[in-house]
Amino acid sequence: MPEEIIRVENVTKSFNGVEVLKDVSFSVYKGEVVAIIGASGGGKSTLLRCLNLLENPDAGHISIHGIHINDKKYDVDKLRTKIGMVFQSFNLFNHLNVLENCILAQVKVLKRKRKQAEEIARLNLGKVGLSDRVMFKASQLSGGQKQRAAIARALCMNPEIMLFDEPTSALDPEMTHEVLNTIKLLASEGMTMVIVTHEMEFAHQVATRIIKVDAGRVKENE
Amino acid sequence: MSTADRIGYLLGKYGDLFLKGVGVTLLLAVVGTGIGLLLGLGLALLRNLKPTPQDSKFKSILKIIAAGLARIYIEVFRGTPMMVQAIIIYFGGKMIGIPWTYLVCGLFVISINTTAYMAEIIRSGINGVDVGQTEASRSLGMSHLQTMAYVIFPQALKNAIPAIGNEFIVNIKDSSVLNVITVSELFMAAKIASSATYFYIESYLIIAAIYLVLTIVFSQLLKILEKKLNAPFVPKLRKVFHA
Repeated sequence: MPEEIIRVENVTKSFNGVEVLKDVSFSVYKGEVVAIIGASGGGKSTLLRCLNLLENPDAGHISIHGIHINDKKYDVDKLRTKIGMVFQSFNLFNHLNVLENCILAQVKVLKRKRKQAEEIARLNLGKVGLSDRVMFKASQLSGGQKQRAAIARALCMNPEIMLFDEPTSALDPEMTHEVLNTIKLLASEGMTMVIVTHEMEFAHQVATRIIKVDAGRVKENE
Repeated sequence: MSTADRIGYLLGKYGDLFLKGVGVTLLLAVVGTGIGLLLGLGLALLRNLKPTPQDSKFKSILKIIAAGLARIYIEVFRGTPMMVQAIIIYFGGKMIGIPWTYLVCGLFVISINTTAYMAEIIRSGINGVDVGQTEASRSLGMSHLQTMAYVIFPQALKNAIPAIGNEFIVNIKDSSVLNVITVSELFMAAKIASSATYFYIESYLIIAAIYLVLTIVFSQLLKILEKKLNAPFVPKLRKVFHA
């Protein structure tokens, strides 16, 4: 049995009285690629955002390696370095170039030396095929390049698990392809991932498990 | 004596006074805007504090109090004339034994007054930064303070540069109210020259022209600065290819 990384137990979350997640439970094991699918507005993104506490569940428990994290005493910042997050809208830091985007948190959070951080940044940027774009700012990149840079930025923190919140929904089909290939590369390296997506074909190709979220409930767990 | 003659006479006799007035006015504007910006950054940070679900009860209450105090400060200083503030602060200070000169008190007043305006300018700059920037930063494990310092402030400041520049221009003009505590700035110079010569219109025409030149020159300089800061980034090719 592979090691359990994330366990979600009976999580409930409401926004302004509307229940978005209703008693949701599931686990993610090491090396798994879990695709979360379902209709828009069904609570997929909220569920994903609960996993690194960008949203706080109203009730229920989320555990990482058996430790309850949605507990006031838990150091959320430390947890988040272990969980990489990639957003639909990329969210590269607009005032920094690609390289600095990848270096900032390494130096400030992991306290790596700048030189070491830059090496790691260049390594990961090479991996996502952006070696020739390290000095560019976000505004000078295509959507696909932005998203790959964002993936590299998350990888620089050496996360145990990567979360993707509709990583290709803001992209043209052509660029969708290059981002999905990058995710496939990570899958082939054994990275544990949870991916919220509308790309059914991709989900079936890459995911080891597909979870369907519908109207705030986990419907299938195949 | 024609108006031109009177202006010539005033410039000849009180030229040094006007020149010194320009110096003090610029000193007030530069120091007031500079200190106001620094303190305004801090005040904006306090004003934006909000308890999060992770905070303890004590921390939540502290945050609410700090944000409330910041808000009161901003409302009081933006809601009363600087002229009134100057008098209250100068004589209030003397009453409790602060041995300040008019100039030092003037610098103090314009600084803490500008702080209130700057806080609101910075705050709207902060609120103009996409929430995704904060989420990305927090997702990388950066704390609230680190996120503010390294991700939000640099972008908020850039957003706020036109408004900050405007505040400087406003300060060049509004420092004139500090004549009420006899700070020897430009308006005070006209006041002295006119009451000594009775050439009222001419004295104030002179300083009107000087104020106009100052504001036009500095707004042009600020425009150039804005353009420079917004210039598209051109990567150094050498670096790119050696990457």
